[in-house]
Amino acid sequence: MDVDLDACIRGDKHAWDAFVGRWAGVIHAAVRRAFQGGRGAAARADVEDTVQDVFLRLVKDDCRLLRSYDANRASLSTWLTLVARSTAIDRLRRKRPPPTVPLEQGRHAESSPEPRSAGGPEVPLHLLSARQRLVMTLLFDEELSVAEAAGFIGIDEQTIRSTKHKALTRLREHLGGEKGISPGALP
Amino acid sequence: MPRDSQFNDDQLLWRQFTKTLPQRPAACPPLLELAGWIDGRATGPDAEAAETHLAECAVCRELVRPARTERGLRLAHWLQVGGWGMAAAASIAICVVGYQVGSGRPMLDTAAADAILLSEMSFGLLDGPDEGLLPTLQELSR
Repeated sequence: MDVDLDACIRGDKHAWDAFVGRWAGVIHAAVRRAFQGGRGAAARADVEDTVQDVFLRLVKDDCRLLRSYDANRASLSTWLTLVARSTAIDRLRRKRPPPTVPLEQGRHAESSPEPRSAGGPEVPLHLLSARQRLVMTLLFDEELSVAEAAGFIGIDEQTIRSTKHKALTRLREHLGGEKGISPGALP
Repeated sequence: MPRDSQFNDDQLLWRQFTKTLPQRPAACPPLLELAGWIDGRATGPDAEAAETHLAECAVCRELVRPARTERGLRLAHWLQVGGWGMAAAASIAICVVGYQVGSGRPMLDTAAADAILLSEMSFGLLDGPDEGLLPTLQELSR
């Protein structure tokens, strides 16, 4: 069933009801998944509240978020899933007790855990391509398996392996020897 | 991923490289851009920008991972089911085309009967022209 988003933005109640009826399930599932199941009365209440937050977020400020959707750039289901999931993650962050070391919150303020090292070899910023950096991040920061990394990016496992090999070769050329650097070389 | 010594060496090398990168990622892109990347609609510079950001931003990786995984699973499921479906469809199509071609011609004419006999012999199904089968085929071919 197609839903007329323009009519929703214009404030057409029937269109909005149709939109809610069509997409509430997708949003609910994405939120429940972010809450990792949402079992128990309190968790279910959190899920329901977050689903309401998602719809409010879509229509807030004269439907600013809903207006930003462009069907040519992404499917509505994927976009709504991300909106729902980001709303749920924000809510979960607010509910967590404050950390001992203050962290800036939100998806715009994530920082790497370690400080940038002083000195060391000069490394070109674009030594690795975006794809190579993503593959290396998934394999060595997230410690995903080759199959998981392939699933994340949507490419086959052999491409992951060859991308990793090329990236490591480039890094060794600039940073270390044939087998990499010794542990003592790092601070 | 198994954590053998090669993995540790490679991880160490990677971490040395990441220490040279800017500490904070650029501002997160709009959700629509990440959604386009998940859907595979982002291409060229858009895809590169999304992947550059995802390499730097753990929060956005956390955001897109389930959607990506679900899409990957759906795709794998489709390929698996679709693959069997295509094989079944191809089999049915061959049968239908074979029937249509066959029905447009006199069934089992002499040449066809001889061909069947020859092919069965070549596959070792018959040691030689079967005394019972040959008259039957010849009768059918009339």
